[in-house]
Amino acid sequence: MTAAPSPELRLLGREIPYIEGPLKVSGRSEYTDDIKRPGMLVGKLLRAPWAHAKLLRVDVTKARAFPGVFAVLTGEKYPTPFGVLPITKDETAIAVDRARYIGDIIAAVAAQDELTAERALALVEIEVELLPEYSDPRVGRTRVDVPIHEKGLNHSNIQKEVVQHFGDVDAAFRDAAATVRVRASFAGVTHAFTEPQCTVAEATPDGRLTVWSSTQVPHYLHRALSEVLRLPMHRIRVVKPEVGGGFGGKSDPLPHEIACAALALETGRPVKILFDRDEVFLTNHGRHPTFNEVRIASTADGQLLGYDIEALIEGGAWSSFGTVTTYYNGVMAMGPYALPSFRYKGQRVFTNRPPSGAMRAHGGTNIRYSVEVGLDELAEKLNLDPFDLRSRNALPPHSTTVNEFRVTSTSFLRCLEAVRERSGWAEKWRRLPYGHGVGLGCGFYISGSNSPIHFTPKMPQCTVHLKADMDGGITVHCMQADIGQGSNTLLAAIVAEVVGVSLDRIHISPVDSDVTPVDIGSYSSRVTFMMGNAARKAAEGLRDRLLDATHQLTGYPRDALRVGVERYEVVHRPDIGATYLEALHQAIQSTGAVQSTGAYISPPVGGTFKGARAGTAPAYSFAAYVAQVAVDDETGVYDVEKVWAAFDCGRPLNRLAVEGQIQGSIHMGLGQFMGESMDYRGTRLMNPSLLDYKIIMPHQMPEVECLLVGEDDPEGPFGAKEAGEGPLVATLPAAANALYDAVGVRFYDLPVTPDRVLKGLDRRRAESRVWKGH
Amino acid sequence: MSFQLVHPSTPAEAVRLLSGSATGDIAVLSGGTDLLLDLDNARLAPKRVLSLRKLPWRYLRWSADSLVIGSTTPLRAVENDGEVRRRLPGLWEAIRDVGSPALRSRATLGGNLGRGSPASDLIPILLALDARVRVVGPGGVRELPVDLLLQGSRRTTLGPAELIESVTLPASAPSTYLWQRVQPVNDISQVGVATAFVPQGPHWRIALGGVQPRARRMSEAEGVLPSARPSHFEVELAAQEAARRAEFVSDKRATESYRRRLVAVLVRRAIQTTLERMSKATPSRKAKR
Repeated sequence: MTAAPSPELRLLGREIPYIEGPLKVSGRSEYTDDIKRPGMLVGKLLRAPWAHAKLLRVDVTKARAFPGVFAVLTGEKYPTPFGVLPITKDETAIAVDRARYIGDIIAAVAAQDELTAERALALVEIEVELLPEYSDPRVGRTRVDVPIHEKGLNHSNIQKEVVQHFGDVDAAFRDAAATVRVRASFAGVTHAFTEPQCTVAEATPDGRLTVWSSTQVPHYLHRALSEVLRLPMHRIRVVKPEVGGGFGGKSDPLPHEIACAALALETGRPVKILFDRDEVFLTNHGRHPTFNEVRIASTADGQLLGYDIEALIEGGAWSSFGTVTTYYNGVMAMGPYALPSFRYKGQRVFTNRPPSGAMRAHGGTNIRYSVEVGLDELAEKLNLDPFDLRSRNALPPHSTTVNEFRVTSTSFLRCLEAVRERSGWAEKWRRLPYGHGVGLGCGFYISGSNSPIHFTPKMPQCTVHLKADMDGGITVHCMQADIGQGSNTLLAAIVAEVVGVSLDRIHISPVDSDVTPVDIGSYSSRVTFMMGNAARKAAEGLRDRLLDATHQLTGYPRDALRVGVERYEVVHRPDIGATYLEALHQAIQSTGAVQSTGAYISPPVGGTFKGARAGTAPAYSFAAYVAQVAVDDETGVYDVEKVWAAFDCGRPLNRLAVEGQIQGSIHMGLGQFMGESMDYRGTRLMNPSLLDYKIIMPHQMPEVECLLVGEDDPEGPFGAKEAGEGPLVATLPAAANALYDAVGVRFYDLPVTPDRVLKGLDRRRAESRVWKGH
Repeated sequence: MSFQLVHPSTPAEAVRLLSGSATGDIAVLSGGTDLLLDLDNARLAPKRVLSLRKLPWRYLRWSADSLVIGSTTPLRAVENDGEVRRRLPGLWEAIRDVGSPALRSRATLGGNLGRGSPASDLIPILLALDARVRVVGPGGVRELPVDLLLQGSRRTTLGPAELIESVTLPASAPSTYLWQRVQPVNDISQVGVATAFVPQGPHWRIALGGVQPRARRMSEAEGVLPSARPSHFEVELAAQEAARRAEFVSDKRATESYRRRLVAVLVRRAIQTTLERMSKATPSRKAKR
C-alpha cells in the first residue's frame, strides 16, 4: 500500500459514542415535527385515488370556503417541474394536468387544525378522464397508448436506456471454457425509516422564506424551492433539524416540501405537513423492482473473461435518480474483480406506481446479487472453491477498470482472507449436514459520487468553516446532513483530533443555509470522504494558527512544535509550550475570533464517453461476507444464524459507527432477501403500513462479526472510505449461496419467502437431484 | 370521533346499559386492542363505549378439575401464571406469542374470543381444550362450548346485550400450540395448530386457526388417532387428513398451497410434541394401556 502513513491518532479509530446520543435518548433532540411556530397551520394533501387520470376539473371553491381553511392550492400556481437530476425534471409540487399514480398529490390545503384540513379536502370536486394504467414495466418497453410522460422513448414508457460495451464481450464468450447465466427478479423494497417526512415552512414580511425539513440534502431542496417558487436562493433559508433516518428516501427534493412552502407563501402563516405512514409508503423513492440477467464467461481455471448484463428496472411514476440508477445497475458490477470485457443494456421504465428512487446501496444491490450468485455457480462448474475463484480475479490496487474507473486502495484480498479464516469456511463449506450451509458474497461500492449533481466539479462538494473564540469552544459550520449515521460525531472528532482538544470543546452548528457553507448532503456514501477531508483541512488551518501563536509565546519556531493534548509543545522540550487556551487567546489578540476554512473537490477521474461519470468515485469500498444458515425443509423457514462481515472502509474512524452501519446494512439486506416486498395488486400498493410491510425483527437478526481489515486509502481523510452503503450489497448473495450449500437450491426471485423455499425444494426433488444425501 | 365512555361496576348494570342501546350506538371495550383500530379506521362510530374495566372478571380460579379464567383477565396475567405453563402448556404457548408484551398486557381472553378472528391464536387451543364459555345477558346466565359461540370473523352467537363472563378449561391437559408467521412477534399467524389429549371422550383434539373462514376442530383427523399412543403412521395420517379436510383461504398472509403444506407439518409436530409431554408427565393408568 502506498498510503501516506497517518500520524498516531488520539481519538479517531476508536469507538466514539454519538455526541447527540444523550439528547436523542432523553427525547430532547429537535426533529421537524417538534418545531412549533406561532399561528402555525396544518397542511394536508389530497392524494389521487386513480393510477392514471387526466384532471379535467379540480374545483376547490367549496374547500376554500370551509370555515377554518386558510388556503387550498392546486397545480396551476406553481407548475414548474423539478427533480433531483437537472436532466430529468418531471415532478411537480402538485399535479398539474394528470395524476400518475395512486398517491399523487392533487391539492394541498392549509387549515387551522387537522380535522378541518381533512374535511376541506373532502370538499374538493374533481372530474377526471381515466387513462390506461401501466403496472408492468415489461409492457411499457414498446409503444403504448398513452405514455406516462410525454418524452418516453418512441411513445413508450421507457425513461432511460443505457447501452455500454467495453472490451470484446462476444470474443470473451466465444473463447470461454465455462459460462453461466443468472436470471433474477427482485420485488421493490422501501426504506422504512423511523421518522415520517415532515416539513415546516414560514414566509415572513421581510420577504424571506424559511423551510425546516426532514431531508438528507438541504442544498438540493434549496435549489428546487428556488426554481419552483421563483424566489432567489438567498431569500430562502433551509434548515435541517435532526432526521430520523433516510436511507436514500429523503435525498430527492420532494413535492410535499415545495407544496408546504407554497402554502406558507399563500397564507403568510407557518404551515406544517407531517406524513401519515401510508403517505411515507406512497412517496416511496425506494429500490427499483428489477429484472436482470447476467452472463459470465471464464477460462477453465477461473479467469473471468467478461460479463454480459441486461437489466430492466421499474421507475414508477417519476424520474427521480432513475438515470443514475439505470447506469448503476450495470456498472456496480464492475468490482471487486478485474474484467477484460463488459457489456450492459439497461432500461428504466415508468409505471403508474409510486416512484422508485435511491435506496441504500443504490443501484448496486440487485446486480451484485445476480453476479455473486453467478460466480457461486461458476465456481461449482469449474470445481473451484468460491474463495479461490474470487481471489484469482481480485482487482489490483491502483488500477483502472475496463470502463475507466480509477481504483486506488483495495483490501479485498485481505477481506477474503479474514472472512475465510474467521468463518471456519474450510470445515464448513459443503461439509455441514443437510439443511445447514455457508455462502460467500462480495461487495464493491462507491465512496462518494465523484460528480456533484447540480454544478461542475469546479465548486467544492463540501466546505467546512471553523470558529474558535474566547470561550475556548470551536464551532463547526457545514451543511453535511447527519441523518442518524453519525456524521456530526465524525466532524467533531476530526476537528478535535487535528486541533488537539477534547471533544466537548467542539460544537456542531445546526444545518442552516444562512450559516453553514454548502455540502451536497448525505447520499452516495460521500460524507466521510468529502466532509472528512474538508474538515481536516479546516482544522489544520486552525491548528496552524494556534501553532503560530505558540511560536509567538515560546519563541520556538513552528517546525519545532507539535500538537499535544489541549497543548502545543516543543518536540524536544515538551515541558515548554502553551496550553490550548493560552495559544487561542494569543491568536485572538491580533484578529478576533479565529476562523478557518477547508473545502473538498473531487479529483478528475473517469473516461470521456457518454455516461462515463456514472459510478466514478474518489475511492471504493470492498467487502467479503460469509453467511451461515439453517433451513427447516418441511416449512421452508430458515434462520440466518451468523454473518461474518469483512469490510474495507480504509481506516475506520469511528468503530462504533462503522459496526453500526454494518449491522444496519445486514438488517436491511436480509430484509430484502427474506421478506420485504412492496406488494401491488395492479397499480395499488397493498401493504402501506409497517404491520404489513415485513422488515425483519430483532429475533431474526443474525449474530454479526465485523472484520475491519482495510488499509489506509491514499486520499481518504486519515485513510478512511465509506461504510454506509457498501456493507449492504454482500449480504444478499452470501445468504443465497448459503441456502444453496444447505439444501442445494438456487433462488432467483426475491424475496426468498418460506413458500418459495418449499417450491425450490420441490423443483430439486422433481429433478431427482440429491443434495447431501437428501 | 367522540363518544361517551361508561364503566359500569356490576354485570347487571352493564347488561342494562347494553339492552338500552341500539346496536351500533354502543361498543364494548375490554382490552381495546381491536376496538381502537376499529374506531381509528371508522369501522365503528359508537355514541357510547362501555368499558368492562370495573367488572370483577379479572381472575384465574383453579379447582381440582378445572380452571376458570375471567373474561377481562389480561393475557399477560395468564401467561405469567406458572401453573398455566405447567398444566396447560398449549394454552401458554398460544398466549405467549400473541403480539408483544405490551399488547398482551392490554388484550384480554374474553376480548379475543368475542372478536372471533379466524386468525386468533387463542381460539384453536380453546377449541382443542373443549373450553366452555359462561355468558351473562338479559335472560340470565348460560354456558356453551366455545365451538357454539363462534360463527365467523366478528360474528358470534352472543346476543346484542350479552357479555362473556368467563371461560372454563380442564385443570390440566397435555397440549401444544404451534404457529407459522412471517415475523415471530407482532404478527398474525398464517397457520395455527392446537392439539390436546384429554382423558374423557375422544381423546385427541386437533384445531386449526388462520387457514379457514373460522377456526375449527378437525374431527376427521382426530378420528384417525384412536389410542393414547398412536403410531408414527397414524400421526402422519391424521396430519394429512387435517390438511385434506380444511377449507383453506388464500390471502395476503399466505397462499392456500403453502397453508395446506404447513398444516400437515405442524399437525404432525404438534401431536408429537403432545406425545412427548404425555410421557414426561406422570403417566395415568389410561395412558399406560
